[in-house]
Amino acid sequence: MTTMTISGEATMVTPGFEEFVAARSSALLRTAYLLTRDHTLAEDLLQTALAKAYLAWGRVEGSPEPYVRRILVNTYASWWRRKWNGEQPTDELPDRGHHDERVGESGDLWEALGRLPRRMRAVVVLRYFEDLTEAETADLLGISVGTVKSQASKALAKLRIDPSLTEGEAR
Amino acid sequence: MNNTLHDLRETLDRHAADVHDETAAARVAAVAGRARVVRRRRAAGVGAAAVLAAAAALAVPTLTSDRTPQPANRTVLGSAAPESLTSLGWTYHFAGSAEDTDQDRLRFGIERRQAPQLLTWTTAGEDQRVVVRTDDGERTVSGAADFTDFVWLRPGYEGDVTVRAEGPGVGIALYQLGDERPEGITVDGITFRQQVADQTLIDGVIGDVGDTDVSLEFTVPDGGLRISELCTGVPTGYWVNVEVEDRGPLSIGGCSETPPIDAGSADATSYDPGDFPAGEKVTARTWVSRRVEGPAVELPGARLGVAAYVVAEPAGRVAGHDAPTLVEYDGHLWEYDGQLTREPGTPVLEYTNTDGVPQLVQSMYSGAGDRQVDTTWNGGRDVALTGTGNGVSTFRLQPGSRARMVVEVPVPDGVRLGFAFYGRFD
Repeated sequence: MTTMTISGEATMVTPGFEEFVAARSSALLRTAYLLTRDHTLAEDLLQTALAKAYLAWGRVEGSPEPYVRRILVNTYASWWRRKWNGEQPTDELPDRGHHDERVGESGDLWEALGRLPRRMRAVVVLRYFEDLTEAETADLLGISVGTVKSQASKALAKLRIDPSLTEGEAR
Repeated sequence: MNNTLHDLRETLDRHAADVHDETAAARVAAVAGRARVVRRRRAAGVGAAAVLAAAAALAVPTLTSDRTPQPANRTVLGSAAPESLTSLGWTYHFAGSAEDTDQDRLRFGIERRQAPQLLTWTTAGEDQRVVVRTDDGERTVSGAADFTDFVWLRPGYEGDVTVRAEGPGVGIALYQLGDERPEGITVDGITFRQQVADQTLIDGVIGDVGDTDVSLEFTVPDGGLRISELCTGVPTGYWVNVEVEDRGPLSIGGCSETPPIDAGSADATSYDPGDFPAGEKVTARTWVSRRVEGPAVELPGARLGVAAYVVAEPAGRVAGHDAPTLVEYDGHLWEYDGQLTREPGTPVLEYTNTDGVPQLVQSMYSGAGDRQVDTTWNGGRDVALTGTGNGVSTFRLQPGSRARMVVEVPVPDGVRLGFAFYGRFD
């Protein structure tokens, strides 16, 4: 167990938290970036999620990564004008991130991703970047498998992806 | 239809690869700083009401010094400790005392209680300066007269406390929360206070145990609005949702395991003036669901509440942030007393407390972008890496101590740094 002095307090760091942040937070930052499409908001989202996890670290059983990822995605999905008694730096999470200068079809796809509603975008990131199954995605977002299917289907339609090309993707 | 799943995966992978994480080392400290704020705020609002019934029994501090100081009653070093103390409208009653007439240091243990406690002191010599240290690492310096200042011990504090005076003879008295309640709305020992710092209660509701869908209709004030929520008895796996009209819902991942006492000072959501039309009736609702934004579900042990507060006009703007007129911190009420700022783009801000009494300082910054902002004081440190480049930290600055805020290079042109200062009001 390590001791870290923050803000004049000797804060006991739960074993493994520092190691977890060092080892896995870069991967989580990438997920946060795909959700927010903004580097600064991604960092803020990640820190918010990690702070929530930090407070409950002693109660986390098994691998903490699914737990932290669940917090991160759900914080993103429900993030709306939350102010933490003047201490929270972020007031609002814009729906649109920085403009990407890439052009062409894939650039259009990135822009189209940015226009998806947050929950739909979360489904896309979890299914097609994290490669989670529909059941895993449903569990992580706290929604039904049927909702995952319908959200993914709507998302693919908005992204102008041929539904016939998704056959065999559901696991 | 002219894209494929391969295109989608390739797009996601390529943009993910654009993320170059160069701040992982600072992230642990930044996260711990955020967690500290949340923990302190939660601690201020929690405590088991069931404990209060037993509070009448005296709990003499467990002395752990090498010597054997003589326990004393309300007479400590020949002076009478007060029967009760008040803090933020709450009344605390005498619960025990200890003294050492020969030494300049008194070290004793504090037993765990789920309600906050107050610790006050007296000295034998003319010099009344003392330094109080807790196992949390908190260090409080005070020059106040005997029994007129106190240290607020958070709910659940368990460990040693050391009080050091300038000469031989030091005594302490411990106080525990009484049954009295501040003005406001109280149900079963849970209170939404009428006044919380610069916020005044408009109305509130505390639902019955098992009522998992609670609403409050109120008139929107002409000013800032703060919605304070209360929840307890909601186990992991459920979500507590809060919404005002069509704004939200905001989903909270969990809530306190024990019934909160000071519900109004804990978690809250703030809205700016104009977010809702002043003078109109609106409804704030909180409910428990199995999933985010889901329908209310039955949960026999759950208890919810919601209250609306109007926020007073800020005392001023500091580095892009509102500086409130009053701040509650560690059981004391602090009043705005001025600010220190520099031209935008200035990378360092320093201040030394020459007032001779502790000051509360809010360090505020904006426009820092992805630069790290490092604030130090009294040997404490807060590393902020907010992502959005805006942040506020609150700390107590002891007499003679220096506060310093530094922005990592390259410094953004528009970065603004400021300190807002507060003096003891109560």
